[in-house]
Amino acid sequence: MPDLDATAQVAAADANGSTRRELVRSGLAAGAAAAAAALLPPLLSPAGALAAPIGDAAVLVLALRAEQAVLYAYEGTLASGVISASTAQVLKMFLGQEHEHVDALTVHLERLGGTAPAPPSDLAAFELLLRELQIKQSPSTLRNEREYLSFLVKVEAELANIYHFAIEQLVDDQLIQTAAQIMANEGQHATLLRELISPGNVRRAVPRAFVGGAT
Amino acid sequence: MDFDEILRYPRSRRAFLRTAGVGAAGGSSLLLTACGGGSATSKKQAAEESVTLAIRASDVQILNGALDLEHMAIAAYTAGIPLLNGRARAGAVRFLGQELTHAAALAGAIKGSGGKPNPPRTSYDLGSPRGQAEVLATLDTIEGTLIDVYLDAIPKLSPGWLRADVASILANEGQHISILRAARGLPPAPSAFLTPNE
Repeated sequence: MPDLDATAQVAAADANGSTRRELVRSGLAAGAAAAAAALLPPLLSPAGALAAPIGDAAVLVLALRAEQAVLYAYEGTLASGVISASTAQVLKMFLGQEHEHVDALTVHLERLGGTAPAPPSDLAAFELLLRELQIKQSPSTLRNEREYLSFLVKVEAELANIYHFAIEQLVDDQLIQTAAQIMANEGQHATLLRELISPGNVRRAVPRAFVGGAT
Repeated sequence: MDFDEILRYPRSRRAFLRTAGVGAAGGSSLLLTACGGGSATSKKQAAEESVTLAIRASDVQILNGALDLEHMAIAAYTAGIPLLNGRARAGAVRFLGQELTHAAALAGAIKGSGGKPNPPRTSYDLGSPRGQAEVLATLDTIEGTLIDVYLDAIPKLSPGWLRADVASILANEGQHISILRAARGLPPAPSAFLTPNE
């Protein structure tokens, strides 16, 4: 189940500062603590649309949780023993860039008074996170390099969806720009992973004119 | 709020730009939700009106600035493709199609907001690239300029969903520049944070 406690905790911290505007806007500014407690579920209308922004810190927590899933996916792939040296070199570079994303988001989150969520502690926790990301495939079913790379493409695609959501929700300009830069980097990862799967097939490597937020 | 909610809710209201070229009501299910009940026609009408209200004049100006550059990119790919061959040519053809999609989406969004999309210029100064390497370098530069413009524009756009969809275009330009750089023998994704000068 979602880590609503962690999100609410961050939202509480955030409610004292930068999300004041959102709280006012959404009519929840009666008290920071009460607002934080009420912040998450009531924002969803019966039709499933958000009635108001959820606050920058809460968005960062979500992005960090997704990034941690990606880190775990890359680390697991590199440790699988089925990845060639040349592919491993590329994956290590991407893993390094994912770490940079996590570091940057964590700094922003801490400035807002939040704490980064803990990474998945084991495979079961990772699989739970994957299911939240609507990835049904279990990494334990992966057998060869191609399957691992296809799996990473799926994880990267869902991460781009999370950033699409984040950019829609974030209020701070610098955060919006950083999220856009990261989302674009994730798009590059997906393209280059697809290129590893099907070298020279640009139709596969860059399948759509829009990245993230796609159905 | 969790991943499941995120991944369910935005899908119905995403893709404003993706459908904006087809009709102004595209991606406006947010507004449909806000409207409550009513007939399909009145919901559509309300959605169109609300979308128009949601995009400000300053947004239209920003979108038109991006559209100007998309027009330039289209001109550059169109002029450069005959000088390319093999994979580079296939890639450029693909990217031209995607730039056309971006331009149509931006123009549709501008029109849907009551604005007037800037037309392409009659000519562009693209230098005089000779041969594949110089064409790829020119395209790389133009993609870098597009990235610069989108990165600057995104935080300035008012509606969140518009920011997100423009970021979708930015990310696609990032993919283009990766492939172009790889074709030029350069690192395809040198930075964890997409920058104009990649």
